[in-house]
Amino acid sequence: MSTLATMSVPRPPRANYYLVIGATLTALALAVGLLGLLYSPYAPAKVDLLHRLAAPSAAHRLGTDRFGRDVLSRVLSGGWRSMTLGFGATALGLALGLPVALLTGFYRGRLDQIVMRFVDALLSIPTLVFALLVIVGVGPGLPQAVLALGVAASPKFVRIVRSAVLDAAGHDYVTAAKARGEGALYIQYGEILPNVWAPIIVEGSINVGFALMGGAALSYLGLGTQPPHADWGVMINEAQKYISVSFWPLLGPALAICASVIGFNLMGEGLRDRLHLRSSLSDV
Amino acid sequence: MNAAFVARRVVYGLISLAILSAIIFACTHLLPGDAAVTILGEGASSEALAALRARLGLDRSFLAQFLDWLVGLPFGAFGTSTTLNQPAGPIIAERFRNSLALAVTTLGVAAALAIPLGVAAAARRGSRLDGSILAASYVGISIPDFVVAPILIIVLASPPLSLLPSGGFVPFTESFGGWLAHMVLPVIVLTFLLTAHLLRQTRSGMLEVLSSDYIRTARLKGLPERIVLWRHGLRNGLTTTIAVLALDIGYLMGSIVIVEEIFAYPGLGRLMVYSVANRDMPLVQGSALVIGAVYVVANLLADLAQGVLNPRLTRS
Repeated sequence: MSTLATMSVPRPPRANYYLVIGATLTALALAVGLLGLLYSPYAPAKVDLLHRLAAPSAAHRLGTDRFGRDVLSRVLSGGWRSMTLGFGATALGLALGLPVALLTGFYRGRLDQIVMRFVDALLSIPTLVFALLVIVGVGPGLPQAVLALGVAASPKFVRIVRSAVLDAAGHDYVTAAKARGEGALYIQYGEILPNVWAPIIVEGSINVGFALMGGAALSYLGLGTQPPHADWGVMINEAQKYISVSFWPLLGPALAICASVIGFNLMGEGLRDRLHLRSSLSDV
Repeated sequence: MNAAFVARRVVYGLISLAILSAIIFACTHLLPGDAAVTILGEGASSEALAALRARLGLDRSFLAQFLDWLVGLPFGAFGTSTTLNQPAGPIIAERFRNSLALAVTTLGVAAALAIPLGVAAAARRGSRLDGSILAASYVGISIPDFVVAPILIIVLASPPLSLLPSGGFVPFTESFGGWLAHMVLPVIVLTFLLTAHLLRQTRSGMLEVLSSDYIRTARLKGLPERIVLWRHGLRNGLTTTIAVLALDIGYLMGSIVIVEEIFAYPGLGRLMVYSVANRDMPLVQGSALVIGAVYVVANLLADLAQGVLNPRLTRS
């Protein structure tokens, strides 16, 4: 993003509600994930057959599931798995997408055209379907789901970052670096990359929310985190089977997922607003 | 619309499909795992595995297998399902019809809701109406379908109301009422998410149109706001909306996977989940390819429709 262009559009200062609410919810979600690693009121797998599918009470703040396991404890202890899916997949998607985006945006020409045809074809497969295609090769499980969602997110990152790179590559500092005789790799990673971090942060934040939701979807389908381990997707799957008896086991994980996804999305939107970026492909 | 434009778009679409099929085939072949092991199990003897690989054609080169598969596709030959022992083509075709019924209904309902709401929000930008429409759509895109669906099942498909079946399917030919009743809940869930998404896009597309000079001219001419908005604005805003609708079909095809699974609706999405869980490669490849092709074809049609609405686009 060019500094000149950003400076020439001063905005009246106003409260950035998106950023405030988004950051708060995100912090809350992260706190749940971290807290769950250290503490939970009960052991998450502790079965209590006398108190199955119980409504919330002083002993069980979010009720119990069909085995009498404490829902709050399971939401807490499953949190880090859901967070791992969100952050892990986004980090992997960026690690795969960034080098390609820098390469094609920097060299342009025929290479760029060919690579972008492939990227466009990949973008025609919905993310979840793409993730399923990877799962079919590597099998179900939490690390596999991170891999699948990361690979599936990478074409989107190539698209978005490349357009920022194309924009940056036309600037004087790149021409100057070329004139100085700097190496292509140095120009890509030393000169261009520091100038395209803004869209990366924004899209990254939004993608964490979507990957968290996609990860929960894979777990829900039985292809992510494997029972008896819990994450929020697994919990919703288990709760749904007994929904006609009690909806309390559904409430905890459903709220946790919704709050985190809204948090990461709003934070991304808020950052986009703060960094004066135009909206882009993020919704695709 | 000139023929060169149509031809160019069609060729682009075909290239996309070719790349797509190569990628899908590679995904299911280059990664570790083999249909022969899946069918016979880990403990099978190497002779039995070799014999089965020869029968399934798995001992041939990757390229030979790919070309074989590719040539069959236009004739509806998707290979033979390894778990159902039936040709994959007819299974995929039947499931595709069921999914299409869901998708088309959802698209119609969502467009009917989202376009007026999006235009209204854009027309009163910054107002309380705009704010609440935006906030509601935000919540809409952030709530996963597998949370919305159980809530709907509790409210509409459980006692005391029990208005609708909580899942399953009845063929159209057997009972029209039953067929329709089983579509209602999946369509509501899909519509909920798609409307939220489409609404946001329509709003931003309209905002762009409304800030253009010709709208200012129309207003300065003294035309009533209603005419400016719905006749002048929407006609141009429609090109954006059509492009967005086509892109949203990709979004919809992704949601269909989860929603069909929740409601045990026998469509392509549920077939995809089944075939992934059972590593039935011909079914995985076929359903993924059809899902991707829907998106490619939708975008091709959108390009052509835009060419009709705005002939300037057809000149290269």
